[in-house]
Amino acid sequence: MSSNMIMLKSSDGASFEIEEAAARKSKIIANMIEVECVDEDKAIPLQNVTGNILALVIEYCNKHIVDDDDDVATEEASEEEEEAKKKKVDDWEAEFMNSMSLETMFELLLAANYLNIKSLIDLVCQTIANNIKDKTPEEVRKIFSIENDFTPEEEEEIRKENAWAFG
Amino acid sequence: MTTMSNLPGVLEDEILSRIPMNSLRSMRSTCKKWNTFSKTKIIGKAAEEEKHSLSLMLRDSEVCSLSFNLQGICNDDLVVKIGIKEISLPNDVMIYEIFHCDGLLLCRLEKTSSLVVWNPYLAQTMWIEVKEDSSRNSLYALGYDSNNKNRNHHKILRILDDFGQSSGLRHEIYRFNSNSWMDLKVTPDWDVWSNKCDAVSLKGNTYFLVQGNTFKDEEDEDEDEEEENAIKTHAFLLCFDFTTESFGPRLPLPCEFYVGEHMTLSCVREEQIALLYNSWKKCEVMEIWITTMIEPNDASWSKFLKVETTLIPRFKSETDHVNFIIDEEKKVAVVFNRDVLNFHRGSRYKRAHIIGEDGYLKSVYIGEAPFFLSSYVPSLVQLQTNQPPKPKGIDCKTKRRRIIKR
Repeated sequence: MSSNMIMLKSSDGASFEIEEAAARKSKIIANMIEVECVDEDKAIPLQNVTGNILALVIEYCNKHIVDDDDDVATEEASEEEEEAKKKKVDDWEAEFMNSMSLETMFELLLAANYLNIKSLIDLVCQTIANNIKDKTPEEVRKIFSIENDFTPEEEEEIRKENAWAFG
Repeated sequence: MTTMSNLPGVLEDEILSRIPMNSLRSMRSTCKKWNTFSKTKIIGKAAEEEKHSLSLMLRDSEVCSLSFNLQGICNDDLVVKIGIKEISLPNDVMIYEIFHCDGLLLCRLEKTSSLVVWNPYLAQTMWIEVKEDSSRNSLYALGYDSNNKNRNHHKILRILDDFGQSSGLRHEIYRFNSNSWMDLKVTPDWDVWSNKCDAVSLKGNTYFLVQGNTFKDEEDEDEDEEEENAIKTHAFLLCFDFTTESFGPRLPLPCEFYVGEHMTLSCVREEQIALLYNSWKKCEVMEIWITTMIEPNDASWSKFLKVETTLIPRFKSETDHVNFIIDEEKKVAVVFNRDVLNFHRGSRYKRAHIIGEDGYLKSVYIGEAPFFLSSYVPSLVQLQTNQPPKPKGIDCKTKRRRIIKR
């Protein structure tokens, strides 16, 4: 794969240079490259993504360039190496997600959705979902700014209903 | 500020479907939308804890979920994450036997002859009255009619002692669509009831592991007298087909057994059956076999793992009974042993042994060993829910049980 560089421009005017291989993690950008509507001297404008979020997206893509190439290149890699590599990526992802607030996660999710980066959508959704673990309903509502639309009677009813439930 | 409510519906659904299953109660009590979502889709499928084995176990009358994460089995730095979590039940309910089929649990309870069929995912229960069952001398299995795609296609098989019958056994079936017990006219040439070692459900049918001479096989008895300590035993699988409501032929097992040895079954992803054979009469070896094909009238096997039991810490072949689950992809078995002679609270066996290829062996402390273990796949099978029958002389305080995490 060539290491052409591509320019991306965020909604607030910040420009980022990114390797084509990394940019191709986004299905949208990959499509643009396929149909050759990318002018090498001109930045691709991304109206729905702010600079701080785009920086995160690029950080993620750069970290994940390797694995796509490696699928072909190192077919003979042993299972141990595969596992070790996966663990390294997992650790990096955990660290990456750990560093951001829930609000940033939601914005990153919207950006990943707009740019169509499936693996990033999965990662962010799972991290958000894990926030619910070991929390009371009140805590969950607070974290996610959800209004309690149950009446006290309904709440009691749900509690009774779930006497025989998991968890 | 960007929150959950700003997301397109498809992304919100993506997040909700990834909530770990053991947060189901909190999720349902959060808001109406989440409550409805959790009842129409199975959550947690993509969550890390549920990616691997999810099983249910029965321990001191309490049902617990058991999850294993066997990440990194090929490296030396294996991290075994075992999550055991009690599933909260009303305080007066004491379960002593469970049978899993299709996300439903058929439970036998202390202090009542009624059975309860339970969907722990939907938190639905259906109580079924059983006549003349003052003792525990009945055998029950849950299955379904695979030709009938409608609701209520589940059935329960009951086998009980009846000396009025020529075989000494009576077979009854409970069909969920008729809500009643019917006599079943089957004339088996084996005694499933008293010779059963184990039973598992697969694709709606029940496979019984039957060991020992049946009442029609008495001529076999004297064959192996020359070796008093190692008498071969006749063992086979029998399928009860819930679609045709009949037993299939005897299905072969992959190895030979001797009287007194222990074997047990486990279900693999609702697709295959695994057999664990704990041999100690001839050699101290534990073998695990897995079906390459299994149908009500045919079965074939291949060897999955083999380990010398003398290498397993604190394991005594003669007295330990085992439960196990396997992860076919990772070529790993997780074996729990318990000492049948010393089985009581605080029993000395509190370990899970993780057995892999090439002699890989690791033991992990898990707290109390499970009395019963079953693979479990959550389902959205709806039950016709009803109220439990009026308890007779049972203290019904509904104190909620503590949820203990280990």
